Amino acid sequence: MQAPATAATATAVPFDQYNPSEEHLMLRRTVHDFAEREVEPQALESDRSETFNRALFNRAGELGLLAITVPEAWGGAGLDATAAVIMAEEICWSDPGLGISVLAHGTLFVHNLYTNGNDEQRARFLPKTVTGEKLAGLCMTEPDSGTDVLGMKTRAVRDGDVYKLTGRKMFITNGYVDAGESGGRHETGDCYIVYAKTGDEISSFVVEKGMPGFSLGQRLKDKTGLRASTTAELVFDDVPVPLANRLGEEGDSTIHMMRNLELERLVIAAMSLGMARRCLEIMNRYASERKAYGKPINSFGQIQRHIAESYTEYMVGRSFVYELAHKIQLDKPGHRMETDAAKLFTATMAKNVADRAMQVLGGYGYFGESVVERLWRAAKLNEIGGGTLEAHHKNITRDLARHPEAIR
Amino acid sequence: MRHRADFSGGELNVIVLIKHVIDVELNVRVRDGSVVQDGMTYVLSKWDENAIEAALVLKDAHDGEVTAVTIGPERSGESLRKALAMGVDKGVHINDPATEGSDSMGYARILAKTVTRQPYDLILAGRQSQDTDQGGTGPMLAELLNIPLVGNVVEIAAVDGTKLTAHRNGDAGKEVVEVTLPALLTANDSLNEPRLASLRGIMAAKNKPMEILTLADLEIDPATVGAAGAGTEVVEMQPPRARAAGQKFEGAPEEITKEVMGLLVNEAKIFG
Repeated sequence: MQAPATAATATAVPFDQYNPSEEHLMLRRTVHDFAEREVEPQALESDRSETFNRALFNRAGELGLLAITVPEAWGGAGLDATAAVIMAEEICWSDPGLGISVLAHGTLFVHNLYTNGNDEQRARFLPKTVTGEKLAGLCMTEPDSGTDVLGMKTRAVRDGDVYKLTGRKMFITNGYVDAGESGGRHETGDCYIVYAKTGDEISSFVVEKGMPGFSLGQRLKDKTGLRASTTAELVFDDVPVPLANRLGEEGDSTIHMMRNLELERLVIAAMSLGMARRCLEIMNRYASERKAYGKPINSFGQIQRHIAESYTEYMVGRSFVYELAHKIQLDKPGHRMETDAAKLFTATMAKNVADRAMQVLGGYGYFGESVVERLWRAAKLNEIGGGTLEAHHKNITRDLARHPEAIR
Repeated sequence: MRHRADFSGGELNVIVLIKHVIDVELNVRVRDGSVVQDGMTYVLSKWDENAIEAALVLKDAHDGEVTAVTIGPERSGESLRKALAMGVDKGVHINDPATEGSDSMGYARILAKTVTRQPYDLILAGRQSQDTDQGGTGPMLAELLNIPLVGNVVEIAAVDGTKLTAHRNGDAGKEVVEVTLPALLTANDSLNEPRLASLRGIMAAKNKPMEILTLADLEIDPATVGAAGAGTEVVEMQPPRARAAGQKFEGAPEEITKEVMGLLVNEAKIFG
């Protein structure tokens, strides 16, 4: 928002925390135009048919959306956490399936590799991942350990200049691609950062498609929502990973993981904001136009409660997420409790807003064409992925017990 | 230096005229005879995006430089930077309070002084701005510069030496017009699909040249432009009338057709 800037009436431009600079505003408008023109027309069908739209993903790469937080020297846009939030919000306003694919690739691999890798590794992996030519992801969760991440069983044992990596990783976003135009054959994506135990500590490695022993396990079909992204189990059977693919020093990756989780959770919170905003827009418009007993339904108290509570909770979440984004410095951890809290609140907020939108739309809301139905299914994921609600409860409570001063 | 005498085979230098307008998608309100500006957001006028896209396509084909020009207060710089982010090479911003209240002729006078400061082969503009929908500035500028005008262009078919062929939507259908350059074209929105600025473009825009000029820099007498120099006066402004709700018809197609035809003939009297 800008005040008129005539000489006589010049007033200070109020600070807009959602678009703190002109670049941020331009980014928001660009991603929104992209979402409206190119993402939205395919969103329903990609979700319905469980199709990862690779051409659209590469288009996101062309626009620079896969490396938003990576410095320009490495092919990124060199923008901040607020920019990452804006982008996620605007994409997920339309298609959280594409949104989570971009998150897994851009935040969990590209940003992570830039932050924790060395120049040689950046030179090797960034050029083709910032464009989307290569599809990437992150492997943390295992079949037998999720919230209890340090209980992971995947191991890497050093043997000279090679680590032998063995284990299984579960629910991996961008876990597979269609290998042939005709379909029917599938393979893993191109590269993944894999967390594994080296002794008692955690280290991280880049595992690349085609390494001996690295294979696609189950393709995890029939997700509730976000069906335009692929999810798989990935199998590592004595995979020889060169020392040159280890990120940082051996045993250093607990900190890598924690630091990256902060940005991941912030971005997931932004995804929830985008979904909630869309649902709010839809229910607000519908309730103004739809009539019952001769009056628009937004003149009835029951509907008013759905709309007003949704708006209020959305604005609370939005203020929290953007205020937090403004404070986060990408190269430093230190906001774990707040990022946990932001995701804890916004995940359930978006789920509830989507549910109220469906209620306001009635029968129409229950069908895919309403958009609300697709977002209603998608919103639930954020209560589970990137940290369950229970993981956030645990982290927040533990951190508050240690740092009661954080409440003040 | 009005324009280059001969550019055949060389680079094509294009000037794009753009305007930063109130976002008409929002609820525009009128108070005390003028549009309420407080709390409104502003965007690049949509037909100007088509003009920018056309300029960038020509640049890709013929090389040369694309310059975007705008007149308006500080905030108008935002649309210039969007143009730069899309790929325009340089921006010129005429920011002078005395330009306020200009009518189309006033803007055309200012632009005539501005564009003739550098050699140009082609001027592109939207066919009208999205706020006033007047569509006068482009044609008036062509007249002041004494160059040919093609309005409402839907296709730029060829640029060959000193000639340009454009297709325009005219009264009786599509017209194919050949003009000698330099010329001024105004863009229809079916001319092209404007590109999105990439993030790289957005970041690069900050480092592209942007010239900020006052009327004094252009040696324009303030009395000839702005509200002072306007030959037209808006004596009253009213908010657009709210559209009445449409009417829905349900039933068998044959019956609905009869009913609708009856209403069109007897109520709407469209066959008057």
